[in-house]
Amino acid sequence: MKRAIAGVALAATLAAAAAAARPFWVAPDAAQAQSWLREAADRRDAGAEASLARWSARGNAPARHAYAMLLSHRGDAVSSQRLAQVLADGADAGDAADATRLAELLAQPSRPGASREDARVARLLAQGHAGHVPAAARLLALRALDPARGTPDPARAAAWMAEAASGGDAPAMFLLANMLRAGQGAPRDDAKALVLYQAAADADYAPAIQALAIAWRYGELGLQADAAQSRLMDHEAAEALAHAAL
Amino acid sequence: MNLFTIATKPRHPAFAVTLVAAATLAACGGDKSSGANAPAQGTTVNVTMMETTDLHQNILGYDYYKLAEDKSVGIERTSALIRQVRAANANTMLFDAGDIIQGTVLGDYQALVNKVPCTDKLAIFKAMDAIGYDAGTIGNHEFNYGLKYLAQVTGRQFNTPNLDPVASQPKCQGPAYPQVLANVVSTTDAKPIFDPYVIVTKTFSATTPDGKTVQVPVKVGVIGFTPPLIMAWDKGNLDGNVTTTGLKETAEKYIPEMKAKGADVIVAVAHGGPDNAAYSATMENGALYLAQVPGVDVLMMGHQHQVFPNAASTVAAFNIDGVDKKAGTVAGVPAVMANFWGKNLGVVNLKLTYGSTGWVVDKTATTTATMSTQNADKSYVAADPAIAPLVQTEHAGTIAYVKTPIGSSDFRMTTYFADVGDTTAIQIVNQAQAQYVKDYVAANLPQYKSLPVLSVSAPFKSGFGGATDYTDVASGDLAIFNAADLYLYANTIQAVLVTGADVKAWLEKAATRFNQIDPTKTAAQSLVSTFPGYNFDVLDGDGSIRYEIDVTQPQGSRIRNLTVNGNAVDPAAQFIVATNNYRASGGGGFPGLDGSKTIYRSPDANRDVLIAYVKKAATLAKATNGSDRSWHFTRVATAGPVQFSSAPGLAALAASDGVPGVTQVLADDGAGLGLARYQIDLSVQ
Repeated sequence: MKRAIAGVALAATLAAAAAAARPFWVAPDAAQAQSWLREAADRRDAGAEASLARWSARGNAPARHAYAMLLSHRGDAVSSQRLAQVLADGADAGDAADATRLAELLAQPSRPGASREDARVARLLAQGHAGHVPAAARLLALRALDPARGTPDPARAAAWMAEAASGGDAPAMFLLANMLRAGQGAPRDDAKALVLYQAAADADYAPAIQALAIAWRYGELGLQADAAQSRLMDHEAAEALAHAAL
Repeated sequence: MNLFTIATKPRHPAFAVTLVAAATLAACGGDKSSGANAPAQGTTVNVTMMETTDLHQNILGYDYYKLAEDKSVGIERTSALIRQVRAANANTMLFDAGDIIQGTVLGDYQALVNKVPCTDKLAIFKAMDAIGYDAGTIGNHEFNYGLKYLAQVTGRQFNTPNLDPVASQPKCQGPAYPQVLANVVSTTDAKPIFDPYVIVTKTFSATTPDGKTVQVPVKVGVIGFTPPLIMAWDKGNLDGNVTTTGLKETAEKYIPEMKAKGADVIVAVAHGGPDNAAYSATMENGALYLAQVPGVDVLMMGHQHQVFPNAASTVAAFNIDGVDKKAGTVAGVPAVMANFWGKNLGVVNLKLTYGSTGWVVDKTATTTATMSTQNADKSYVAADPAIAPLVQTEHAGTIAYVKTPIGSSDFRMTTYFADVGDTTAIQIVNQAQAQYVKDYVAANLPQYKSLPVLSVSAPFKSGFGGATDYTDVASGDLAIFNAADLYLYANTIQAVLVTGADVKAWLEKAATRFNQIDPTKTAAQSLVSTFPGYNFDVLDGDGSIRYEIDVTQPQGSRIRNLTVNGNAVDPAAQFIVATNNYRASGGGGFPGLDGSKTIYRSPDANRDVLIAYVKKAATLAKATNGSDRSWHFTRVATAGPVQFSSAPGLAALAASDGVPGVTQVLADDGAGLGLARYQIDLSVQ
């Protein structure tokens, strides 16, 4: 990892040093270097962004991930289009995480023509799943529950969701907890749902914290109703939401 | 760099004498173990180091949204615990791990509404100074109101590009205790914006090897850290003005310097906890790696809003290699985290022994713990009476602020009869949400501008806690605290793109709020099921939406005559529905809502959107904001009564809110919550 970013940093130095606020090539580690470079690019530092784009196109995975994050953060139509290409490059290079993120991007309802790319999404998710990307298992679970694709298969969805949750995917923990509360695809299990909500909350996943706030307020999932604890969770949720918004 | 060494302000006359001795010793320098005034080798000191963290401007035990006492929070009760510790041991120190100035309405009031003047001290610092802190650090939320405000309330002058030259900046009232922060540096001069550390000389009672009690000086070095992620969280305030450095390398830089300046003991105060992710200079919780830096003797943690040590904790951060949640150590270093809002006090009982190299921490005799303001019997310790008078003005001002009218209405908004169709407290929320999303779509999602924008909201308060646990906002002035009654939760707005079939499935799920009614039964039947009221989503479209709920049908087959503008909803048609992040992400287990249909994730809270809508509207009228009955029960004659519970004596309110056929049949439904029993005639709906 450090060797890879060193390559990026050295090459990018000349292009971006003049404009970048910080000398990222002296960053203590790869994460910091990427962070600084992305910050510079995010400030519309053309040199830094060009460096990221160039090294991403040359197949440098850390640069591609940083560039994808930058484009994802911007969210405008042009960036979104470029993001799809960057992720497609990653998927073509065998990056299962990029394949999964591209599948998620292509399936977004706000994306024009999302339904036309369904077969491609399925292939990308298969690639992500084969690469043990937890989010891929979650997205497969959601497809298994989608009545537009045929008869929903809750048991299969629950199995996939459990796989994603055990891989550390916080949204999957939350969704699996919901399924367990409802006995959807698996026997009802409030105790396990509570553990999953707590695990997702530990990962700062706001909906899970909100579920806990409600559970404390109304004494659900085996908890004893506690208004103060509920209020504390509400505060935590607000903070997690503020972080997520960034 | 403006490093400095201070002697603590004496709290008792006796301290004044010993401080002179401390100053004399400090001036001598040289070999710590053999100076003229050096303690005898083998001399021991037992010192209790205390921590508060994440106080978030919780000074008094009070909930400003409910306008009611809340004993579970507030430093006025933590102060009582601190007094207990000080009474038990003359050798104590007190630290704070940050997130102090933001988090309650009081915090916003002083920062944004009635800004604390330069000449006045922030309310929480008045309380903290009265309690007496030795040092503290800066949390991520300290940056929420911007660098200028932070400089003001901490009594600092920051040499950053966005502020006037330091010489032109006023020196405002800050806390009396030193605030240290080593890992946030200015982009102007690459120096930390706060002092990175402080060396506090304390005079402690010690025991010599021959059993005598003597007074000895101990130099305690305190260094502070905040999460480097502030650069993302407060990008707007910080970008281009400051940068952060990693905890580990920053500690490695300064701790040897602190040692060289004579620090006997190093206390690292970090607004962060442990995390077993690989070390990164930008990681949010780097305490595990900070504790591994040579020289750290004590670790005070925060940010994660948890209690540490806690043998029973299931928190992932406390169940990783290097963290002993029972013994209270991180990488072998005694550590505490004192929860938040002043609920707990962290306590490290440290034994120091004077040896050939100076004072050394005896880890075998060191213990950590937290104390709670809540007693075993669930009662709370009495508040320290010295605190409330200090912040009386700010407290009263905040209460007046939340009572300030933001608009007015000519009708009473309630949820007493939301289960049977009253939307007086729901329509206004739906209107605010729908308008917000419409505006966003028009400006940013032109491809959807032709789609209908609907909205859902629920009666969040529906009697769970008894007759007072309903939304009830009187007609007349509307104030900020009323918005919290109308919208209970800390949700943010989201918009989902769904089909007509999805909408119907959504409403079918909401309709599980009701039991299936058998119209032939002569015995009384209970209308409301155990499905929670907060999930009883009511769909509204400002008069365009109409639907019926047929409670004689089984779950999943109850929604009838669903129309938009008088036309039956096409299952394939597309709609945008304004809702909240919880529901859009899958909360409540509504079919098809799993996060994948969201087309807009707003950072704005539903409650704030409601406040803005009321402010803009200024006057709310029942005809336009509280009488749209988007749904009603399908008419059916039942052989027996259909009953439900609500607060007593309000049947006339149901009628005036447009819900016919409601009568009270029992003043007490017998459930022990002070609720009455009503029945509804479904044949006149």
